[in-house]
Amino acid sequence: MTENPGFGDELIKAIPNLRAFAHSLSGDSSLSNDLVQETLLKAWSHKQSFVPGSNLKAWLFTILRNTFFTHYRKSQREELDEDQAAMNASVPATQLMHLEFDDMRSALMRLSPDHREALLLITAEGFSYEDAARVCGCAVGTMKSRVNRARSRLVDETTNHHKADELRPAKTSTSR
Amino acid sequence: MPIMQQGLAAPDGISLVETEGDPIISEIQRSEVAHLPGTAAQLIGERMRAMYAKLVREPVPGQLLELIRQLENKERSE
Repeated sequence: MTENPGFGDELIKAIPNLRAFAHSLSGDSSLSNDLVQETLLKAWSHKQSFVPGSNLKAWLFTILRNTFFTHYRKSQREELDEDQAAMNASVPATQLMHLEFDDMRSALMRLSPDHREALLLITAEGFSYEDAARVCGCAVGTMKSRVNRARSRLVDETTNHHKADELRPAKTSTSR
Repeated sequence: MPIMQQGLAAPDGISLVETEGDPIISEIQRSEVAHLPGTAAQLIGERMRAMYAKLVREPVPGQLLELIRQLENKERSE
């Protein structure tokens, strides 16, 4: 139908963001490379269905998240997710001000996949609510709700632990 | 159907239809926005963007680049 002379180059340009999204969504570095590879293959084999001039990045992210959720549902059926959830739950949350990358990653992984992807698309990738909703196949209102709930969850979690830390003796010098 | 919608049609045949979309959600989200501690949310946003930017900067594995080049070469030879 249409010739896409630069399609391969466009895919290559998108790889770093696809990998970051896949890694943040799955919490697994090697799985994220598999997800990106699968996404690239699907995008290539269906490139005729991509509408030139529309948002390629959003299209690729849609393929990637669908691929991820296929893996996720499969792993749920195999009950592998319970191990992952137990692993994530065992990671203690830290004080908000001292959230490091690993802590942020752990906190993200404690969110539901729906909330996690919403927060990643809006906050980290900078998608508009409209584009993010299209990527996830939900209503814009649903997307806004997910983002707010995800943020609230992270804030609650970190704030509660902050308060708990303050009650512990000799943890920090808080002279008031 | 808008162009964007067509462009985002999932190629793997997985249904994207969700059951959410309750009108009550907009009420919930308004109240949640109002009560979210602004500074904490901002800090979380900054941390997340920093974490994400670090991931984006990671070098791309050669196998992914090679995959694209192989697909291009295969197409050219056909």
